Amino acid sequence: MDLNKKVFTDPLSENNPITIQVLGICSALAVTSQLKPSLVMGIAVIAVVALSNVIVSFLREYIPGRIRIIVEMTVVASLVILVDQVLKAYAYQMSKQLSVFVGLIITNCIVLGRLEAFAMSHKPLPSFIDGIGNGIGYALVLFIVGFFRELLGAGKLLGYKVIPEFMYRAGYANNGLMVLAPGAFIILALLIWIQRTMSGHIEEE
Amino acid sequence: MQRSNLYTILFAFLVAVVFSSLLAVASQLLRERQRLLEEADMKKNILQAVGLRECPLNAVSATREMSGKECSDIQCCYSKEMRSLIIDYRGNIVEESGLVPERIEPEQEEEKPIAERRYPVFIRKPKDEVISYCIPLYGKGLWSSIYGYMALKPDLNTIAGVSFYKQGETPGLGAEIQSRWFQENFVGKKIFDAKGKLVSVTVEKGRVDPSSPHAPYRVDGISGATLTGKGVTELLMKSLRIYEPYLRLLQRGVHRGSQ
Repeated sequence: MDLNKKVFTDPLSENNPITIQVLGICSALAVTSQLKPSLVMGIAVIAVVALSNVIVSFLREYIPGRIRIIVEMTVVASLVILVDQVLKAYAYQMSKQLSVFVGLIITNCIVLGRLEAFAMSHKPLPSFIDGIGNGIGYALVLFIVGFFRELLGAGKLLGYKVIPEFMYRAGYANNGLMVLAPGAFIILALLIWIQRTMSGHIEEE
Repeated sequence: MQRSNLYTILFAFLVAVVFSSLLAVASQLLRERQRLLEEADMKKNILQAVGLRECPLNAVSATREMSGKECSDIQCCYSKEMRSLIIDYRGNIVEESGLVPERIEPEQEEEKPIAERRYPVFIRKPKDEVISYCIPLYGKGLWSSIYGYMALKPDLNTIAGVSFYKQGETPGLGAEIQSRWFQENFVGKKIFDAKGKLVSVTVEKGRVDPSSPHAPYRVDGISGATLTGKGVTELLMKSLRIYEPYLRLLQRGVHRGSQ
């Protein structure tokens, strides 16, 4: 049980897929200009990583080594298409907003990375926990980046105004840089800095 | 561990069959609902352009999800108020069975040879009198394709309303083409000049000078979104050019009886 706990908590901070391994940056930059799409994207990735980890872990004894990656990609691609279809049917406006980025979960290195590094050599339950942990680790970073970008860039959270009108009258202005890609780079870099200072992680030479 | 070739091939085959059937089932189960939402979204935007529904205040509220009741309200209002027909590139009305005007995709038509292209026209005509003509808009913005609708008054010159939907412009800047103030900007503007030449509407950089002789053909731009504005100007001209022959025929009274 202790092992499972470590499998779950490690990717949240110590070994976070974005801030430590710096994987999955593309989507972390693209969808985080507002909080809501960041949240939906986070949930989509949690679902895909956890389920593909479980499926591949069940199959791990039977997958022929030579076509390993192809089988893994088939599993991931099918799950991603499934998520995309469900979004289109139940959150149409959101799927319009996320557009290609849901499909691009297929190429998110976190997913294939977890399959290769963990699910291929562990039992289904720990694999599931590992998937959930890594998914949440990713979603957490997206949430933080999305939170600050929407707050500083538009003065809103989830579409609701949070910075009061008198602040604007006193001369406060939204930071336009935050809604553009450089804003995401800056927030993400600050986040990595803070997180690595706290955990004492040092990049190997 | 090395497995035999036969095992590998069989395994790959099995994986392919299992996952493709899973996806086939999912797509069958969800198709109905997806189509319903997609159609309601599209009809909502036509209704916004012709002024039967209120525009969203800003780009963020434009992305609110629709409830089931809202969808059926839209369907009901649409079928009561709107008629639709299909034209070819010369502006002649064509009757083709199996072709639904609401399902025509402008970007797909662009790929076809010109004689085979079909364009939809949506007409607000609750009773005998036409209140407005609505045409789709399609083109490129700064980052993305922009889709929308434009409604023209029966004089075929004055804009009754514009609605943009489906765009991927910069949030807070270019994406604000979906906001109410920008779309209401277009109401009352003209697309033909005094000599009857198609001039379309240009998005200004900044504000329009109301005393300028060009004021009826210009709208205020969004500050910080000059390139999106340029894209909108171009797509308006391009879309209106497609419909120019049809509008000319209408002006001459050719289609009067056949609407």
